[in-house]
Amino acid sequence: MIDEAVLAQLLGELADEIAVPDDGADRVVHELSASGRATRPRVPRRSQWVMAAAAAIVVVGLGVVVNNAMQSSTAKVSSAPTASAPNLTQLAAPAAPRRRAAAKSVAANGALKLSPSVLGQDGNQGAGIQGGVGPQGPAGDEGVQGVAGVTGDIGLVGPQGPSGAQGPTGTSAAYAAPSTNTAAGGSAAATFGAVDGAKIIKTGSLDLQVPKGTLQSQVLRMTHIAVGVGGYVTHSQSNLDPSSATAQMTIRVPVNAFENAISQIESAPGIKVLNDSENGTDVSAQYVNVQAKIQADSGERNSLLVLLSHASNLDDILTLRDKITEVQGVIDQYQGQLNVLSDQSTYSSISVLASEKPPKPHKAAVAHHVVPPTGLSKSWQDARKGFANVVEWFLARSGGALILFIISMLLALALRYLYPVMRRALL
Amino acid sequence: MTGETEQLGDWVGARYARAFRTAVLICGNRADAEEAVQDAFLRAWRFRDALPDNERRDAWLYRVLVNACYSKLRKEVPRREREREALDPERGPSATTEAPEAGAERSVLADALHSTLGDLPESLRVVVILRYYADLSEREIAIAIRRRPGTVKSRLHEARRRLAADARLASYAPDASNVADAEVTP
Repeated sequence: MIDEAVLAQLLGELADEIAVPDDGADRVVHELSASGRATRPRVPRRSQWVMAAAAAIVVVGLGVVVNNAMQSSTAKVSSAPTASAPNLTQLAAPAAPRRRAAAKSVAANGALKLSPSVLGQDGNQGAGIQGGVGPQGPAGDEGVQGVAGVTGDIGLVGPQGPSGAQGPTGTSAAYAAPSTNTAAGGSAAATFGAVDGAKIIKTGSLDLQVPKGTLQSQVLRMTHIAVGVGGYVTHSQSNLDPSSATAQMTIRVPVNAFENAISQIESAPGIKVLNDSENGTDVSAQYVNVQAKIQADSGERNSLLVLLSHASNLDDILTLRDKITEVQGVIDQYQGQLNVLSDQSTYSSISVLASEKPPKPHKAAVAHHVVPPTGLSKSWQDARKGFANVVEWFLARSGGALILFIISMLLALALRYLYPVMRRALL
Repeated sequence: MTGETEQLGDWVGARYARAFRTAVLICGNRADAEEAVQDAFLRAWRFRDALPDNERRDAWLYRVLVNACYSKLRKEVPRREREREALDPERGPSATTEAPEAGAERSVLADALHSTLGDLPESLRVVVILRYYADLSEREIAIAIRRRPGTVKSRLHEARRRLAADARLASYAPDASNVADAEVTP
């Protein structure tokens, strides 16, 4: 091999014979200056552009998430009045047909085959009864206002004729009707005052597992809980057979103490809740509906009583009495329904099934209970579940925006770290 | 002239002569070498921010220069008549003040080296020029030609062995007997 020093010397001599252009370096500098690359303006670094793009993507992504969240919350808020609206609507709307029914009922009064003496000396007044039915229609459309219309209609009957002018007055006031209707409305009008809050029928069902040998004491404890919150036990049945000791109870507690009673029952030491179900039904509309029916029929009954007080003919008296009995029966029926609703919405029922022996578990449940996760494994499972929930929440809230955001971030990172490498490779 | 332009002028001026001669040795003609050097400086300066540090900047410059020379050799040069004008005694030699005998001997050796270098494969010729003329280390050559240092070392060894096979240069081999036994592979 040739010596390195000799080779370097010979190469140097060979290269020295190559004439270098005197203006070569100047031409390069001039070329660079002319092309503007020598004094190129400072531009922001690529990383700054990448960071700006990433920030913009983050802002857009957050905007999408927040927008979706706001839309969902707005939807909930807007749906709330819709849910409560039926209560208000049902307060008046169902009353309208009832008022029409009451008007028909009064019209039927006019159609009764009564003597002119019952209808007053002036035969036109009898016709006035039927004529009074006419305005009752629109009054009935106003719902509760129709009740006052009944009052006015009564005014057209007999000696109370002049007071018939109150009919239109009554139709102008919606919930003022009970106060102006005192003379005719009776007890039905007074019940309107009860319709302040929603009428909710709450029911609950508990399936409990109690420690061995404590069934009786647990039954006693639940009885004390029911009495303690102002309720009572309606049903209790115990089977004290040691192999299958169970107890079934039904307790009723004030609706306001429903949750408190359930929490007290479940919170006793040693008790394991196997099943817990609670149900609530809003019967406010039904309650008001029955109230209005009672009020309408009461008005009809009162008008019939007025007619009966002026009847002198035996046939008229019998006819009116039969009609009054019929109307009173309907009123009693409605009143019974009202009492049931009131009772159910005042006291909630809780059915409790307590057992000492655990129910036969399902195969899957057996497998689950054979190796219950404890300690770190349980924490790990909880962490995985929580992570999955968070990811699902983000995906659900953001839709495709999150995926787009993640892809954009990955692209930005790739550009950030690969671009310099690629640029060096391209040199 | 701005400070940056002055910096550019100093940087180019300090490296232009050696870079130009290196390019001539690789390309074999002055015209291609001038264009390659100019392209190399332009690209190296344009992408100077991408260069890792100043110490390796020369290695990167020669890497760009080698690429530019390769580009000239493989794409543009075939379209021209490739004249080795730079090494043509009638055009290129610079004036000398040495004795005629010494100059004659050096010219003989230089011609021998020139012809032998021309016969070397491109991959071997480039590493020899970068190592023994541009004075780059093996690591810097590895950066310049994008090969591993071990590859550079192997190529240098092979290039020196082939150069020593030339009878005119064999006398400069430390162990002439090894040269006679060496095989010359195409």
